[in-house]
Amino acid sequence: MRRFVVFGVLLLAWAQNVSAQELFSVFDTVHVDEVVSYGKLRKYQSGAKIESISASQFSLAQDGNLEQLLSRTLPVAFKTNAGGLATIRIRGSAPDHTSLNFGGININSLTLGHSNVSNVPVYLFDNVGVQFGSASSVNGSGSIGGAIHLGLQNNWTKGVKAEARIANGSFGEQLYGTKISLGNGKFESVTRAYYYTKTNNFPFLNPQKDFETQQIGIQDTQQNAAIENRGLLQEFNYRFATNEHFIFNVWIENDWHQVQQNMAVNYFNPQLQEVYDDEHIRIWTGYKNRKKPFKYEINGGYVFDNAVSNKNTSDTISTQRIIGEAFVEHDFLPNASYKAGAKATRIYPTVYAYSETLEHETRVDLYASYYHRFFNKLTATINLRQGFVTDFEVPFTPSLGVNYLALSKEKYVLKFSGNIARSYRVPTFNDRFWVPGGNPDLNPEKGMNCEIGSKWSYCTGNKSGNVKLNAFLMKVDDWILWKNGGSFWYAENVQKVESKGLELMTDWNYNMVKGWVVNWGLNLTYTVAERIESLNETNALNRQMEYVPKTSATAFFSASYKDLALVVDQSYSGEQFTDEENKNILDAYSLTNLAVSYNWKINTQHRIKINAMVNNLFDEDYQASWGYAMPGISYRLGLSYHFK
Amino acid sequence: MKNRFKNLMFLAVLAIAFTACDDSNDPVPAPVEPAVSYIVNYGGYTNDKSTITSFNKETATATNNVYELINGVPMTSNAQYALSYNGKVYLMGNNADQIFWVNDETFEQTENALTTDIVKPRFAVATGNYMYVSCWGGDVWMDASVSYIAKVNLTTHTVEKKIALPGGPEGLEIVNNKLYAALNYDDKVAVIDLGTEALTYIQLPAGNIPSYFEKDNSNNLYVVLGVAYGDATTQTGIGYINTTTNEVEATYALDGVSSMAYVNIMEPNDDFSKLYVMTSVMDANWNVRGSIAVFDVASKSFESTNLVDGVQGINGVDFYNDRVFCFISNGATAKGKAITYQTDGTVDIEFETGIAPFMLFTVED
Repeated sequence: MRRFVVFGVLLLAWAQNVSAQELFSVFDTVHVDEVVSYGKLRKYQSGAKIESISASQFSLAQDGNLEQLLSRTLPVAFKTNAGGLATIRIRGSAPDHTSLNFGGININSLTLGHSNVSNVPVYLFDNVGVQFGSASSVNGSGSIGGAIHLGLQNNWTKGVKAEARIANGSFGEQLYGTKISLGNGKFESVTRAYYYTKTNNFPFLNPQKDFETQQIGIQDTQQNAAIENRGLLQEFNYRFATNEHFIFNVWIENDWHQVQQNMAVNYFNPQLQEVYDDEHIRIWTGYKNRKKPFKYEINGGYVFDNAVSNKNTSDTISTQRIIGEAFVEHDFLPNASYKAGAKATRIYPTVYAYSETLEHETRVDLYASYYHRFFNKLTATINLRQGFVTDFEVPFTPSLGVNYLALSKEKYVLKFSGNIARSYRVPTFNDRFWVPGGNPDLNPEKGMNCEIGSKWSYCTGNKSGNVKLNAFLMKVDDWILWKNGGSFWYAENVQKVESKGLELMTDWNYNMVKGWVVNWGLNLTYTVAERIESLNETNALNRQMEYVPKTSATAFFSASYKDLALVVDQSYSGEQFTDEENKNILDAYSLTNLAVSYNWKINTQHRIKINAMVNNLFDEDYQASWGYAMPGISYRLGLSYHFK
Repeated sequence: MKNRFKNLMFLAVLAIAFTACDDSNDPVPAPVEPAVSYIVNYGGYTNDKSTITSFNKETATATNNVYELINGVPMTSNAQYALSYNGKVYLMGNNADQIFWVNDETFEQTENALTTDIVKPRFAVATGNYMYVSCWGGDVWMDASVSYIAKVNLTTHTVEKKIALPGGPEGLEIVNNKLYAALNYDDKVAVIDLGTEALTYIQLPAGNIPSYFEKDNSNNLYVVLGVAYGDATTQTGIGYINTTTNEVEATYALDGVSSMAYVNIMEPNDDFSKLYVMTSVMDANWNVRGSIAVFDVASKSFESTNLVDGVQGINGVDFYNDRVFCFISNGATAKGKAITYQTDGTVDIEFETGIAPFMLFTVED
């Protein structure tokens, strides 16, 4: 009987890996209810490592951005400065190699190839999923190192729900946000809006030398590194029936920041200001029919991106794209299903430096997926994808994954998984069409990722936990770099990179007596990412890549009692090379953060949540990007009012 | 009478003897090229700052990171240019914007940099107690009116005057107390009378953007004639400016000359019989390769065969020790190198430098 209860509970678990506060899942690839509109489901990606953030950690990060959330909760490397710019490097890959997905849209810039992860506000979303490793067979171009999925939860509100949030922190940090949900159980309107600003005038020790006094190290204050972001995400959802609904979502974002200057400029030219302005409109809409045995979706999207550097509006850098996608999924057997679809994108770039003959580009992806479950122990998936791009040859990208339930006992479950996947990235528009230097004949960057993993899940009485261990090997060929040509720089397929490593993730949950709940977790990553071939003469062959620490770790401990919670988390980043010489090496650093939150339930309809955080508790003096100052100890206070 | 004549004769002989000993008739010794030269490595704009590599021609050895070895700290700017003058080496620094200087014998910096009124310094020339520095003054590509010439007092190391000069002055040269400035965002050369500060212009062929000069033995100027980005039709090359008439006397076509490569584009040999000019072009297969063309001054024409072709990452040219120095840099994060060629094109030696080497200078005697 107990075994049946456990099994039934597990069937209702999330399709994605979840952390301590939630029940662990046996059949990761089986889901009962689509609770996440934008989270990619793992059904057709057996063996893929997809992690999500715990609800409590996500809640604490509401006032910040995606980089701050992920750097504290997952062993992911970032190259970042004090708030204006951050780029992601999963498993030693480049920022261009991780897709950032909102619905069916990869929001990475089509001109630059990557996103500024500092400009993704956590407040607008309900959860985030991070896939480690190649995912091009499912996501298309760009997911060589991984994929991030920004999730929204369809709650099918009945009546009104509302939230207002205000946060205040060090160095002029402020956030104002609101979420309003209206609905009648069939129709739902969800409005999310935020405004974030930060003066960023933090003190730091500037390592400049005064040649007249011979003093090295001067107390300084960061100048002209302010941030001002605002966004609106509007959802209109309509549910025809339990398994049939329509969504329409529009995300409007405006991100402005003063480009943080390095410490030398901050000292010698404190008056220098450079600003960068990003505007985005992202629309994703779709009709989803999930009635068995045939399910289908028809989706469409529109994206407008515009970047203005230092108020230079005459040098236009903008792109527009229209996206259409349709797929069919058929559960033709209780233990087998397939999915087939097509996605078409028409892109219109308007960039001052592109060839005038470039009007638009069309991309079409055809894909098919197959899922099969054997004897309730083994699941296997195959994904096939072929892309077509105007005047460009895209490689065929298959992937194969398996998940094997090795042991399933009353108290614990042991699974093994494996995945092998090809991936690719179409060179950016800048790479191909910038005049001078762009090369339309560039090869796509190509990747191959293999990984094996194991997951041991434990649950007994008041204790539960997971231990996950993954090993991966990833190779990326035809890696594009811009090279000096004398008169101008030009794009070329230059190098081959091999990345391999081990990832350990653990989380534990303990429901103690009298309402106390304790969670803790530890993530460790060891990544060896090396440039193994290069057309350039370099001293960095077979040496760790720049801005990829060999070792990194995160750990957290939280204790909650009724409505009060305390969280301590720590992140560690090993030393990093910053160039192809062994000269400017970033020291390893460790950051400790402390947070306290209290949920005050005024009555059944009204509650107030208060968060207090201290970041960089021990005032660590560190750099995450060579030559750029980072803030020391800082605080953040947040207060949110919830109606229902 | 006889004695008086003898005395007069003696005085005459003395007068002739002293005349024969007049110093002005002694031959002037030719300047001796120093045994050590210095290569400026630009670094990477967003990360590594500039470094200096010394090269000893007698031992054929190079030493990297000279500035840091002497001063204990790295440079804090990306040096656009280095000028040796009156016992100091002045460096024009970008990001951070500053002019800093070291003792030309010890390479030691003992004073703090000049930052006031220095915004995006590019190049410098000096005469008397003044140094003239071309400054872009801001984002000159958006607003060409912000640039200027900073007149720096070399005793007080302050900017005594800012001479407004729109158009993004880059390379400079002084001839006959006139300052010639190549306007990198215009198709003109500005001429400023250093006495009266009167400003005139020399019009270049339409579409040709200048960057740097070389002054020949007649005090006339060769000027780099590049083009703006995206201009695929205007012919590039070099021009010859007669500084007496202040007119472009001739232009010499050469494909692939760039005025947007902020490196040493051309350099004469010791007697100015040859001018070595760096070029780079993208071929039909989208490969970008550099060359060093040879301009014969006597015949006023480019030789049919380049000194060297097919160079990947060419980043400047210079002349020292009767060799042509070719600087190589493939990127902004890896060490560069210098390849030296004998004047017949034979490779002499090759050595590692800092990131993005682009010019060579020697210290004044």
